[in-house]
Amino acid sequence: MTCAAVRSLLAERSLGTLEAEAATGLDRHLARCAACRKEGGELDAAAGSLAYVLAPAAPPSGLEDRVVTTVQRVAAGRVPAHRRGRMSMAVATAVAAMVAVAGLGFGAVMAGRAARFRDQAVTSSVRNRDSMDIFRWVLRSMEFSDPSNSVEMGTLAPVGGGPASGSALTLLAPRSPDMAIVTLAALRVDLSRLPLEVSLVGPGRKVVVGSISRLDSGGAASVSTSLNEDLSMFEEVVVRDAKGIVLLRGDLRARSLQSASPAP
Amino acid sequence: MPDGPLLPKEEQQLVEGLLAGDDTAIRILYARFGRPVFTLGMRLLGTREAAEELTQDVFLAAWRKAGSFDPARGRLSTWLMTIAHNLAVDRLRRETGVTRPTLVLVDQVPEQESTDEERAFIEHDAAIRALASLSGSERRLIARAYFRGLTAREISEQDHIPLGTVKTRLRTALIKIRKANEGKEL
Repeated sequence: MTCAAVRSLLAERSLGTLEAEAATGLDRHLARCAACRKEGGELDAAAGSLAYVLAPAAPPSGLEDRVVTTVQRVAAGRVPAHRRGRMSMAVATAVAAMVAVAGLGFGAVMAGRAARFRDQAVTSSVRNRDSMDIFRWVLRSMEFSDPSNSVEMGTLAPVGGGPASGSALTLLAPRSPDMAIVTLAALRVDLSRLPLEVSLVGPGRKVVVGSISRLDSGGAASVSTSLNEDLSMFEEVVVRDAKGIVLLRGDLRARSLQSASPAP
Repeated sequence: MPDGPLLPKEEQQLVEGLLAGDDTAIRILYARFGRPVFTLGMRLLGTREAAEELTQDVFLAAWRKAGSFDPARGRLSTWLMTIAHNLAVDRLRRETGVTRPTLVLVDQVPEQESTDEERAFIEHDAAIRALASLSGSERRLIARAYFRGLTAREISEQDHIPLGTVKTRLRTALIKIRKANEGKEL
């Protein structure tokens, strides 16, 4: 993406109205281009001041106390400072485990099950359920005890039908970068349609989780990333082929977990 | 802490206090940003209930993402009001079909008499400068994009003007606002 192309999008980005389609590559460019980042920051500041042009409305007197109480309630279970390093190691371990499970064994497991199940719908359902089990196992296997963290999970379904499936997890963590993990299974695409782009999409926003340039023999792959961005704003996971055609999509808010009480 | 603009170090301290659930830090943040956040909710969403809900959601979201705030990358006011705006527009887009209130801007109402705080003067002056820097059509354009959540493409289609023209006008308007308040951050 060129600087000129990026700058033509910066105002919309600052105003919060950038269409998800147009956001491809924008954040990556900003991460490495100081000049565009500077302009983006200036436009952000201008947009941020717009709330003040509205005629002020007085909040009710009790709202301050309610805000304080609400924040203090969620902050009360924070992790002691000396455990924060272990927490980030645990997250890293979880991601490694997730990628290993999905990349090495998941596709083969799914392919084997597919042979035993003739009913495609049942097979997809089993795949998704198994993916969720793997996510839960990852969450339990790590030291995931910070109540301020939360997890959103969802399953991906093929847009054009077929046996492909997928699962997505976002870890929302106030003390460390948010994290997204997406696994795919039983996806058959021609090589010409690779690489696939996996992204999270929210109102006027999009972030790329990763790019998939090969699938294993079971049509499985996984991508993960950590981002200094609030992933709670993103509601949907979308997988596109190299031509931009949507192959799978899923709702991230279908399942939500607080880390302190992982699902049974 | 002073009533005027905060130093980056003070902003960082406030956010760390928010993360820790510190009563004083939350109240300072609320004193600075509670009113503009609530105002955004009232003017965009139209009811006091929705505005109160938005205000609580914004402070919760700020607490949850406190770790991502970096004073070297932008001001606390920009960060927090961006969270507020995203949440408000998110709700606007989810609740299609709901009648929204007519926007009332700061220069359309009499100046408030109870502006005995330095910060209130700063906010009011900055808002007046921002509005004065825009032409009537730019004001309407910014209002539709920022306060109604319309994309440039939607505006282009509604007004039958090229998409590139809408993008250029939005950028021009934001640059004007930026220049109007250069060096006068909230």
